[in-house]
Amino acid sequence: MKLKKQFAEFYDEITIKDESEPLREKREILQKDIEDRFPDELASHGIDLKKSDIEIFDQGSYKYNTTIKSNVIDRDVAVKIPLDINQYPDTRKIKGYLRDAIDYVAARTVNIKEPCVNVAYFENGEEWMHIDLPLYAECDGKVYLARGREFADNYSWEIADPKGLNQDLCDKINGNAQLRRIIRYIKKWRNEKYANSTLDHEVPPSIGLTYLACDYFQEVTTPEGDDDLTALQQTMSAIRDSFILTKENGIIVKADITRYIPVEPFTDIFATMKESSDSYGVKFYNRLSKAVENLTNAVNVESEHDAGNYVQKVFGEEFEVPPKQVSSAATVSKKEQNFG
Amino acid sequence: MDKVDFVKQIIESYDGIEFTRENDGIVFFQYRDKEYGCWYPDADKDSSSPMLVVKNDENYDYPHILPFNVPLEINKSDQYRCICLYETESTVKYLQSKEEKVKDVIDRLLVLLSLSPLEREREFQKEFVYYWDNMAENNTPVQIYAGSTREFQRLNVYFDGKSTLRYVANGIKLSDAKAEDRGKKKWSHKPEVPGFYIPIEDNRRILPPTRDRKWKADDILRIVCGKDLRRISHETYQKLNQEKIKTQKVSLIFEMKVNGNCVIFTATITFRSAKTDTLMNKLRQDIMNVQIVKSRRIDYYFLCKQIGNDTSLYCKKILLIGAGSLGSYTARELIRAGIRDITVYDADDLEKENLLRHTCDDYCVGFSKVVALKFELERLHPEIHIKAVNRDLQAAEFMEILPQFDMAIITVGSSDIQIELNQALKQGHCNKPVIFTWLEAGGKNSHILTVDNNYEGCFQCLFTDANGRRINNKVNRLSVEKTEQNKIRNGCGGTRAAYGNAILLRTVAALLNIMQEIFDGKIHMNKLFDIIPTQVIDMGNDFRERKCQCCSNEYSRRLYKDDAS
Ligand SMILES: [Zn+2]
Ligand SMILES: [Zn+2]
Repeated sequence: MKLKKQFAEFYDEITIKDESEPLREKREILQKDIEDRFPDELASHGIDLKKSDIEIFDQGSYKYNTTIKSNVIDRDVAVKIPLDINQYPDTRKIKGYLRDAIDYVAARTVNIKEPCVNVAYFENGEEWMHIDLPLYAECDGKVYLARGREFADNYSWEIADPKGLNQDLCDKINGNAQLRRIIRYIKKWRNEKYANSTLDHEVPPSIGLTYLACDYFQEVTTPEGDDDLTALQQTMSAIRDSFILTKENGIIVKADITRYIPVEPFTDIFATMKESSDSYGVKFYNRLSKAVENLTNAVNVESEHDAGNYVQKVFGEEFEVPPKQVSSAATVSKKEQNFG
Repeated sequence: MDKVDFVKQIIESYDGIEFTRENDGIVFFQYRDKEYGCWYPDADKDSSSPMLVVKNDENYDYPHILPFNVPLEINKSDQYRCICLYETESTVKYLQSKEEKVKDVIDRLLVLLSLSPLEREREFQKEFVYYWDNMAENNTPVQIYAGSTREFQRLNVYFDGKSTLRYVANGIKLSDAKAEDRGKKKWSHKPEVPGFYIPIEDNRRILPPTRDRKWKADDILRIVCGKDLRRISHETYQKLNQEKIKTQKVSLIFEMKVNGNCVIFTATITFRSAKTDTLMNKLRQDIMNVQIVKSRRIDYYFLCKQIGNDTSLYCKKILLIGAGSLGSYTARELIRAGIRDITVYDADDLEKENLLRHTCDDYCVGFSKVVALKFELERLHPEIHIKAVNRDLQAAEFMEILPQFDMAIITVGSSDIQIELNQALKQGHCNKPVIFTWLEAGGKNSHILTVDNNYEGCFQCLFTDANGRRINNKVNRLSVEKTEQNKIRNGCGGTRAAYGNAILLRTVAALLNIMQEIFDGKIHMNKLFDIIPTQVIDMGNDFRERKCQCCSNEYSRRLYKDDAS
């Protein structure tokens, strides 16, 4: 098996296991603020909400433990309140009230985004963290997500099942250590390749990548332990093969990937990407193909050093390339790279 | 060819490397905007090898470029810093030609200089303590006794009035704590600088201080409350928030794992004020200065772990009966194997004739053997506690105290005492494991018998035949006649058996393994082991006699009881 040590070290390097204390503290203060101030804010607009009826719960990678290191910490915390959505159909207003309730300290910058209320934290003029607050309304036993930007024409309460989604992913990932690692590797690859992307909906969303990894996961173990390189290569290659391609004159003009969310609203996770531009899917497909090509080379070459170089092309510099081994037996021992 | 030209020629064969000058016999070359020198003293000696240096006129902090001047035996000797490219003894210089040696150091330099940031971090962490100590101002390292629990705690601080500071974890008792120096207590409490032990769970981005990059408040805060990663556990973080500080200084003793090794580093923090606040708040808001302190972790648990001792022995208490030659060897090796708490009984004094087969030294002659042993063993490490009882252990007392111990080891030579203790053990229904060990006269063979009331057979079985009649120890291998030949008689009933230290060493070696197996639950019967000069033979439990007057009644009684219930 090749690159066992390098994959293990790389995984340790990119993994975030727990919230850092400053993040936890900020999140707890924010949650308390929501509980303390959101009811009052709603009351001033004639909406009755008891503090005890607010439900706040984890969502996203921290919930199913697939978080990776990134420049800006990104945390998802769901806020759910009981609300008659027929009486209050304007999600923009309700999201605005949530914003107004918490936007009173200099440390936070609160903005309304399409699927959530976004709370960003800055230090020395630079954002170091944001907490996304998707806002849900519970009405007649169903849960709805508040969608729509502050001044957008399109807004709606979209039926949703955030807890069902959490449960589905936890069931798939928990107890499957190699799958968890593969998800993190793929997310890292995405961050690496889309580091400079500024276009909305161009970047494949984490939830989509996570589901694709779960769907196409190929477990690979050997007597020496898990072979993450081969598992990743096979999984990513299977994901690539699930694209539906449209070619014109031999050139790919459209590359569609589809993954329906398994809970309400049962929509396609990649729908917005597809609707935004055909080129996004093509770019996703091409980048994925490139990664598969590099990983396949890594699987096929004999030397660990060469294999490491191929994998580094997928993940960037944080993946370490093992030193070149000199073939002559007499010189092997002295070429080991252990400095004094 | 001239040595310098020879080196120069090799260097110039590399792409990207340019010869610049020669100075002090060192061949200098440029690589990636930086100048390095190759110095090859005694090039004609097989065992010598070239060295790479950088000129010490600027700061250049990089892993393995030594942070201080090295005195080369040339003029202007203090102006160079060495680059360490080899682990000690990782190569055999003798096997390489001169040319290969030069090429090898250059190749290694190129690899070193092409390390990625993460690889550099790893190399820096491997040498963390080295860099740390180099930035420290204290000469005598602070002694850290951290113990077996890896969790945040306030340590006790002691000072010897001269140069040595000790930070001691709760629950660790040091035998020299009450030691006196010229009528005064040697160690006194030092509450002015409280010390806190802080285990680090995540090492990422923790780099040692260098001349270019001194440690400041930010480096401390990165560990205790870094935004990017949680480096200490939440429990540790909470405790930092609870701990109240009333002093202007604290010492933080950090511990992190690097390649499975435990790296300890200590920083003394000076706050701007002595205003009482939580430790966390003071660290966040009030750090004035971070002082790098040289420290060494030296608690017994850690030292045992470092050499690969089984740390499960750490809290075991042993009752040792007999401090003669076998007893003293046993005690000494138990201590070195990781047992720090032994109670030893023996009534004898140490005499000159004992010295060659006793672990104690000449200056202990005239003292009781147990006191001599206590003195000798406690000197090894202050966490070792020997309770010395200068009398024979009576059977009744044996039964009374045995429950306090994890095991008793009986090293007395007298069969009568062994039988008496064995009977007490069987009658007292004490289920603690007991090891009998004795040397046969003749100095060749020895035996170990494990006796645990949970299993069949006892020491007295050895003195019993198939019909339950009493016989002399049947497992001894040497005939009576041979035994007699090996006795030295010195009148009035005094006899001395002739044997040397080899039998002591091999018996104790076997004993350590058997003890470990008992503690690991791997021995499921009472067993006899014969130790002959070249072998340890597992004799199983064939020694037991169903008609043994000691254990067979006891055995049937127990069976009867089991049936009734
Ligand atoms: Zn070094
Ligand atoms: Zn018996």
